Amino acid sequence: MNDDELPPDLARLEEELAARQSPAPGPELKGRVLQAVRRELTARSSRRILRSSLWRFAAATAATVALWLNLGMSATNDTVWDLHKNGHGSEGLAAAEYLRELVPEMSEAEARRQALLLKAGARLVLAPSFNNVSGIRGKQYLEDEPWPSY
Amino acid sequence: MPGSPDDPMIRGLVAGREEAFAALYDRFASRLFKAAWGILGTREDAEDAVQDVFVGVVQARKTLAAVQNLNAYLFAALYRAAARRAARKKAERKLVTEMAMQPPPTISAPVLEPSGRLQRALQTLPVEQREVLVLKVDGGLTFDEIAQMLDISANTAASRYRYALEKLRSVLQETPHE
Repeated sequence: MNDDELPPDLARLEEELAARQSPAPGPELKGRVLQAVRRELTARSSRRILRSSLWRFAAATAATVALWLNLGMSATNDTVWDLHKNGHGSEGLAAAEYLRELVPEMSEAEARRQALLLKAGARLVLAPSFNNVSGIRGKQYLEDEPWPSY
Repeated sequence: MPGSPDDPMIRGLVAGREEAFAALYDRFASRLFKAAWGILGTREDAEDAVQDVFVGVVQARKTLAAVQNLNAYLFAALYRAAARRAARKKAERKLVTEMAMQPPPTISAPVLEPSGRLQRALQTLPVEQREVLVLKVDGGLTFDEIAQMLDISANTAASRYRYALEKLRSVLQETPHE
């Protein structure tokens, strides 16, 4: 359909409508619109800078993590822990065997664990108990235990 | 050619130069405002819709070089801005009505500012007819462009336009002259 098909009265109405009075946009609207435009342009450039900064930060963090992982893995692989020798060496194995002789129902794994614990506690220094002046005996102080009075 | 990719104003808009936006405002603001006023009915809403159009142009400025018809592009943006604003106002009115625990008003037309008889009659039209009328008369768009914008056929756009004019004529006949 085009406008030529409109009856004369509707065509006239169309012309009246096109020529109808309309308030002009307020004089302050241009300033307001341009301010919004400026704000949007600035915000977009700030967002772009922020986005690129975030990417740079993320990349730097990832590189640092990768580097430390790599160093950690290298250090772990190159370290001789000697756990078997220290934990279950001849001394440990002998203690475990002895424990099993004493307690035959103890499993081998448990015997090894107990041997390791015994070895770990073998070099503990005894703490003197001042309550018993006749002799020194080992005493463990617990956190909620009051300090001895002299 | 104005509105073509070779237009210095378009190049300025794409580059984000503020003076290009000022030139765009000088060229289109009055017509956009008139169309927005025709659809929304109040100066405040019309001005806000025009501002939304310009902010939208900033956001999509990289795509402007591919725009063939800047006039149709801007009026399409205005139509969307007006639709968003109308929907927001409708939701606000609904909320206010619910909060006041009062029955909804029987007339949902916006509160009109003092204006001409034609403008008041225009506001009595159903929104889908009013949009087509305003986009054709104030925006100077073709039925094909309006159809594309509203996602309807060109025939439907033309029919709505004619119904709108007929309804407007009958409203004006019932309305006494000032």
